[in-house]
Amino acid sequence: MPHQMRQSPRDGSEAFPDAAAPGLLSAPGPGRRPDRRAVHWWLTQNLLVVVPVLVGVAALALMPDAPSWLWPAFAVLCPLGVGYALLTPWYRYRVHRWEASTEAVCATSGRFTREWRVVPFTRIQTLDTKRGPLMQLFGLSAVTVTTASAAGPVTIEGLDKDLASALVRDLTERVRALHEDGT
Amino acid sequence: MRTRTPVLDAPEAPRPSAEEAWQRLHPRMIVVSVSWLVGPAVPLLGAIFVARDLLNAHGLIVLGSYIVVAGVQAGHEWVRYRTTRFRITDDKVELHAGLFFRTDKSIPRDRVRSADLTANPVHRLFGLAAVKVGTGQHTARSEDDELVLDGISREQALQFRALLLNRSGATNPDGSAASPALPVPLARMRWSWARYAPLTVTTFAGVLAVVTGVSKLLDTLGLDITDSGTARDVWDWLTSVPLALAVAVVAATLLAVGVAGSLVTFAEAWYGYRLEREPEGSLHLVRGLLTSRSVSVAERRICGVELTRPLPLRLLAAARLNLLATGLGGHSARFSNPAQLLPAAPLDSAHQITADVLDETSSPITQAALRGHPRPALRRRLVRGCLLAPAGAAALAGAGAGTGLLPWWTVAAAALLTAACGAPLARDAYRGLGHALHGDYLVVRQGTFVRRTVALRRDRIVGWTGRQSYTQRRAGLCTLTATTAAGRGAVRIRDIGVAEGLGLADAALPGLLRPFCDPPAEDH
Repeated sequence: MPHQMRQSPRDGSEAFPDAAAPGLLSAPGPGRRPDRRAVHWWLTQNLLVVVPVLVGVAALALMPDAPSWLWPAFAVLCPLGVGYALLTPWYRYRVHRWEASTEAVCATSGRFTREWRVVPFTRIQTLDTKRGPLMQLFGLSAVTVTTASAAGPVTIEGLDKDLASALVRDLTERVRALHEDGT
Repeated sequence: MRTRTPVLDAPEAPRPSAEEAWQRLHPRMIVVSVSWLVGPAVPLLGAIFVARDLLNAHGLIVLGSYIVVAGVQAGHEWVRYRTTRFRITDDKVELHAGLFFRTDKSIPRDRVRSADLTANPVHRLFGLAAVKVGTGQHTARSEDDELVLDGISREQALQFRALLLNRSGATNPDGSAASPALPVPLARMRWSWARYAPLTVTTFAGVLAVVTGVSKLLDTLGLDITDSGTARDVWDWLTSVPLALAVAVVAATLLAVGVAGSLVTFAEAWYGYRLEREPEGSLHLVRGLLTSRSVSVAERRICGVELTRPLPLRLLAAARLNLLATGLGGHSARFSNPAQLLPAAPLDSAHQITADVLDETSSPITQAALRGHPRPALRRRLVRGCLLAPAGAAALAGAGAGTGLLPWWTVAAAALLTAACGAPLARDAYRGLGHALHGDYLVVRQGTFVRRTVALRRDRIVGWTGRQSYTQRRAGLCTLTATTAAGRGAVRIRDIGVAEGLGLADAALPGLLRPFCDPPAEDH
């Protein structure tokens, strides 16, 4: 199982006495990245939105009696849109990470507002796997871990589909072994 | 493509349960359901009768559409009655309803977390009640969390509640499994609490509702108030006396209406208030004059309490108290705030009930030594109170001035006034921030207009979330969220220092965060 890979360097930190700990903790940084294909998926997603918009604006500007400000608007929108479409997938790939430890699942996300979420196995209620048409094209899956709280689902996007189903299987087994009620 | 793997309910073969007969709602429910039509009919017919000489086509159209609506509603309710069936089997509660859009709901018996009884005056007139069965789960489709049997006889409803909440006595179909021990009373109604009732927002909202409601009704009927002799006399008198006196009279009248309204609302909501602990440990709350509300919460569903103190109540050392429990704080507006344990009452009572409800010797809210938040949190509040809020006020005043309604100097006045109020409010908000771990509880305080103090049992925290906006990152702060199955699903600790927050989260649920908190590994 891939989850065991990062066990060895971690065990050392448990040895620190708790009293000294609070100052030492840094924001959770789970170790595993999404699949590399996720970048392509996000890129395709962005282009599917940005390209039609830009083409539409250009087509409008080419109409015979188009308002004169459309070309300057296009000139501004074009680099912005293309820049957004090309750069954000890499940024998301950099910030979106996840990991399952022996007790909990953790994921980070966010562009301008950074976010991390941690859910212990004992509180997991369902594991949802999602595969949209584009995701299927790239062989990807998203896994959402839900709890009894309305506020705290953990979503891991851009996983390889085999890895995702293995993860769901593995987590399901572990949670059932713990067998708690989840609230 | 979506797959949902429920990890808790291991798929077991559906064991063939004893086939229970399907039951119908009570037929009197049809009458109850259409009874709301009587409400508009009374003022409508009354107004038409009183002002029959003023009646015009407008009024006749309103009357005609009322009759059509009444007919359609009656037909709809009859269909609803004919198509709704429910049953309680050994392992689940099922409800089938609807003709064209069928909803089939079923809740496993062992998932039932609350069963609340409610009966509005019409329900009570006909001896009926509604039972809301809650599971305390929040799924993406929130309406799946609960099942409402609206319109069964009161005895049947009481039996159901006993049956559903008392799982050990589930084999006893008449619900008589309750032990002979008596419930322990925790709190009773005190009419002296009524003195806090006018200090709520509902006072002003009530005045507004009355005024707009009356004017709307007159308008709908096509009646013009200036045609009435009495109204003209009052207006003439008001314009004849000095302006200051006229304003004072109008203000006093509105205030009197508001205070009377809030007292009536208070009496209606809290008459017969009784909070008790039943022998098997569950909390039971009864209140209400016209609409009687009855809420039962099994002991293991209790997650904590929330002490709410709006600004006027803070000046008078008073507070309201809400229960945080799984299955409460749901989405149905018809059960008005079932989680409220106590109306606005003196702080001492609130603390005493907190201790009783949580089964502790003293309230964790009074015992906990709250730690304040770092200075940058004050700066953020000052920026909001002294820069952003005045900017907003100035923009509003500017819009007013732009359309010529207000003179230009109001822009500066609005900004200055808002900033003058914003500074002390920002300081107060900063002083209000606090968090602590006290024994089994996480205690969090925040808010200035409404100060909320939450005491949440640590073992009810189902996860931690941290958020950092760009400005928070610059200031070294974060918003830490303890997610829980109770209430709104989350307890937020705003603008806590990053290291301190992580320390708190780690101390609350030891060992959970630590594996992820090493310095991030090098990129591969």
